[in-house]
Amino acid sequence: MSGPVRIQKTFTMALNQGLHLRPAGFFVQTANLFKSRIEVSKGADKTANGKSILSFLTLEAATGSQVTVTTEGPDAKQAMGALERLFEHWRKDATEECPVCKGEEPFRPF
Amino acid sequence: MIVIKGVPASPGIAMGKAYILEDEEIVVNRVEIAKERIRIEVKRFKQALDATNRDLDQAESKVLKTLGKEHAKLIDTHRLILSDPLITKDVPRRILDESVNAEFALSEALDAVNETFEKIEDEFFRERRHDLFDVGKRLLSHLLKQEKRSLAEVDNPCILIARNLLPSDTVNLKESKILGFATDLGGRTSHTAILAQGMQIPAVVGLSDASHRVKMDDFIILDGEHGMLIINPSPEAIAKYQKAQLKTQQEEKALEALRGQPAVTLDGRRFEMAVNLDTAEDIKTVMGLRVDGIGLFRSEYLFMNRLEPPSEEEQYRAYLHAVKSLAPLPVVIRTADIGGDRLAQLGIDGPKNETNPFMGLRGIRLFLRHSDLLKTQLRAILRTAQYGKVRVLLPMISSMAELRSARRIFVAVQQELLAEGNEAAKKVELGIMVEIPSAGLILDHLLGEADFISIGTNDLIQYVLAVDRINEHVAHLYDPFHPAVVRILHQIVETARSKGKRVTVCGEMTSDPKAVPLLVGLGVDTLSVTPRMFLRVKQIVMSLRYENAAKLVARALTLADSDEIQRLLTDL
Repeated sequence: MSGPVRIQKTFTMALNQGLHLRPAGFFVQTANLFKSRIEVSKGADKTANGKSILSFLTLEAATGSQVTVTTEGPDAKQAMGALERLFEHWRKDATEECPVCKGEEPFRPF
Repeated sequence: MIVIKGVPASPGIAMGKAYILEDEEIVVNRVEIAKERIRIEVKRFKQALDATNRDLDQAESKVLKTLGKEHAKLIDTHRLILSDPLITKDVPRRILDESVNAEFALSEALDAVNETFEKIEDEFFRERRHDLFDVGKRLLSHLLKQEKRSLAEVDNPCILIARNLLPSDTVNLKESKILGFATDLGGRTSHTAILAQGMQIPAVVGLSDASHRVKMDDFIILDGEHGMLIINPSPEAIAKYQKAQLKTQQEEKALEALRGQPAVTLDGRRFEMAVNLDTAEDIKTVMGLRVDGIGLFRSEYLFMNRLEPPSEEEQYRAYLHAVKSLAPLPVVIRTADIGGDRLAQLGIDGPKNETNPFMGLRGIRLFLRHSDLLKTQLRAILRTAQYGKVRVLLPMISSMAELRSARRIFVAVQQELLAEGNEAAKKVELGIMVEIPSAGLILDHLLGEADFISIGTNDLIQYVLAVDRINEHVAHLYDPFHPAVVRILHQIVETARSKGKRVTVCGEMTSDPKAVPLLVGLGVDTLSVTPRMFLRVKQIVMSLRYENAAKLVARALTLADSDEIQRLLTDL
């Protein structure tokens, strides 16, 4: 595998941030599966750590808003691939499920 | 007597003594940690994290038991916060960098996050900071080895007053003897409010300084409907609320008794009582009401909040759930009545910013323009025919040509499904919404191609009177008792009757107690009501004599003025 890669893509939030923040939660859970640094930004002035739910929420990314995701690190491609799948899933099938982290235990620290 | 106005969070009236939950002021001191002890400090923090995680596991099984799966997702949110790097990484870093104790490092980290949250404009996102506080407090109490306050000690029925209630406190309320609660903080969309609704406990939030103004054991009236807290109410106020409470209880009891009863008038005419369904999720509620069917399944929700139209499979699953649950009772599914603006969001070319969307490209007009959408939806609906009794309803029909075009597609889909071995699809009835005046006026012709009709009173009234209900300047002109409305309704029902076709009325008029006698008198077959009003409307129907209501309609048809018609109705 080649060295660290940096990828950037823009998505539209297709799902409403539900009652229990599931979409944001799935994003963060998925992001945490990877080593790469994952950053999410909205507009010019708001940037969040994609691995932090608290940080992600401060973006106020409601349905229809555009977010730019940047992955950087040894598994940047895979991370972007997984997150793309997540966005694609929300776009096609508005169910609150995570196709990537499905079946995984909830992410635990340490 | 003091009355404080707050935000209504969960409806209902509660009366009783106040129990004040003291605000837990956790004092965190800054303590320098010697170099060699820093590792132990970090370890202590990690142990607190583990302990908090175990707390959450316990809380989760409790919520699952008392409130169900939907609310248990709240715990997922808390787990996610607990595993957030802003806590798991930032706190150890602060301990290391500043050589401070874990408690202080944690409270600094929480303050920093809270500061960014306070800047959030959107109320929904901002309110999530209470979930952060909740997790933070659990962590702190483990570090300080303090027992978290427990509501278990409250053993007399009382009204809980607090500065703030965290979601984890609220979850415990169900098993305690608490009649209702009031808090200084919080908004309508906080988890605490949502949980209170789930548990059906009256609650008022956002009362600013109420927790300081109420004293332990003060007598309290909590009005969750209007968002009011009354401290030491006057005897008159108590009497008033007692009366209201008693009345509600009696009414509820009387209404409960009507579940499953046929809606028959005093002179023996039976009306079919159905409900309107906004999403498939409401089916459980509807089943509990023991309805005669679903008179209007609004499929619009399937098209909301997304960037591509729903697939046939996804729609099929939603409709199948409804059809199977209700079988053998009928389910009338209306093809999506969406407008051009929605189309653009779904990635399909459509008109944006129509000057008058109510008269624009919506309903069947839009689905005939994009017939693939209509075809997909019809396939999804008709495929459910072998599992129950399903009917299709077309919105916004205004001409014969539209109905014919739609029917051609409908028949083509039926034949397609027949070829696939689905014979039940052939028997599905196709009906039309009568909501545009032109459809009412040429109904005799339309009924040649339609199996049944459903009168959508909201739109019909709006189009007959040329009143946009959303426009505050003319909204007062919207009038279900306008003689023109009564006349067109009468004409529609008479035409359908002469052709031997069934008439359903959906729309808000069916849920307006004052309008029900009018609809009964018109002699419609089915009333499709919003679930919340179902039993109430049934009660009205059962209290009427059809003959009297019919006479009333005959009378109303001769009147020139809405006021006169309304007076007639109140005198009935």
